[in-house]
Amino acid sequence: MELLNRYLHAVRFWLPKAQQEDIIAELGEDLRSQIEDRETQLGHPLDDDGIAAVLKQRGNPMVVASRYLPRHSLIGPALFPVYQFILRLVILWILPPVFILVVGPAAILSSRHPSLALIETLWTMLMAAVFAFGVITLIFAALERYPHESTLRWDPRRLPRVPPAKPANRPQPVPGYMAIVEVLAGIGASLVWIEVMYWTRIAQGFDFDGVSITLTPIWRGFFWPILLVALSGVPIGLMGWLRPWWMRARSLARLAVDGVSLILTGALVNMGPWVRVTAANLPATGVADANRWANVGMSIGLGVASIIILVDAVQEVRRLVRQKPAGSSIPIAVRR
Amino acid sequence: MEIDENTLYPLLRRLESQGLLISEWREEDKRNKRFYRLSGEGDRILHQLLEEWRSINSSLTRIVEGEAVVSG
Repeated sequence: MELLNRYLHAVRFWLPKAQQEDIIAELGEDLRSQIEDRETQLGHPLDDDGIAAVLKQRGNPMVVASRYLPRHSLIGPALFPVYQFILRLVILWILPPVFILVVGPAAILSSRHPSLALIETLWTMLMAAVFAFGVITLIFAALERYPHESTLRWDPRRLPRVPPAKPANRPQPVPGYMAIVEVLAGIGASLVWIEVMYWTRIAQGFDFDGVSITLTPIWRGFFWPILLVALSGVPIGLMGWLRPWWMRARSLARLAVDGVSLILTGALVNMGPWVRVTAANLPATGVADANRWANVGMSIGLGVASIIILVDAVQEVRRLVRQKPAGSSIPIAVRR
Repeated sequence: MEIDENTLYPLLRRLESQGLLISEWREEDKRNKRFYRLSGEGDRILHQLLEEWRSINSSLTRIVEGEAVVSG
């Protein structure tokens, strides 16, 4: 019965301490009865192979012990869908864009060994994902163990209202307030750009505590194109406000502006440096670092701006595709 | 009715922890064995569950016999 004792010892390891002796006594007794019954059937004592067959039929010690443990889950079925959603949101939709668009380019552009910086960035992203997984799991495990009273007591009258159904596949005209915002944003952006380039300190540089930041001369060649792009928001916004049903014309105008904007940002990205930092009270290496970081920030900003313009262009293309040109459908009643 | 021992014994313990069974060790045929019996609460729950089972059983019988009439 040495094999039986080893089996019972293996099961005991996984049992709660308070119940180990009692459960092992019951389990051992039952297994001995089973072995005796088999020996009576066969007419001879069981050898190790025979006993091993009985124990194998009973099951893996860990599995047998698990059936005596209380049934509970780390994150229960009620919270699991939310947990899964948050996990996907953070690990798939937040971390990768942050690392790919901001952290990675900053590390690679400021490093003397870009390939090493890339590997380090990927590794850091992986570690951040593992950390996020751990923290989110811990939070939800705590919520499962100590549920908030709002999940236990809820009122159907506090549920959100059902949103009105949108007509399928029909683009809606721009709301009036959005069109006004567009006009104001166009005026505001144009004034800021003029202010930035010609009237104040940025043209001669921001100056604080002896550190001066100026735009480099490459920007002067882009003054009028950028101003025109900023001002384009005004007629487009007025069109959306006064002629909201001119949806196709508005989409085409927005696409044209997006195209010009992409060309401008593409041209800017290929130039550089975009800013110059000077500081009388910093050592040369400090000034060089400051210049590098300032221009890294500008390059990232231009990259992000390009992506935003591209996304806007894609949305306008989708709106154009969903809009039917006038007179494209022939009424069936006309055909006889 | 065959019940797997891996299911039966943990289930008996769970019912005992819920106060529905009482157990004791007794010697029988020179072997120590654990015997289980219903507690007072267990007896009450048993009758309640039997009532529910009879109700479900009669509903199912009506559905099945009703289908037999429809298909026959």
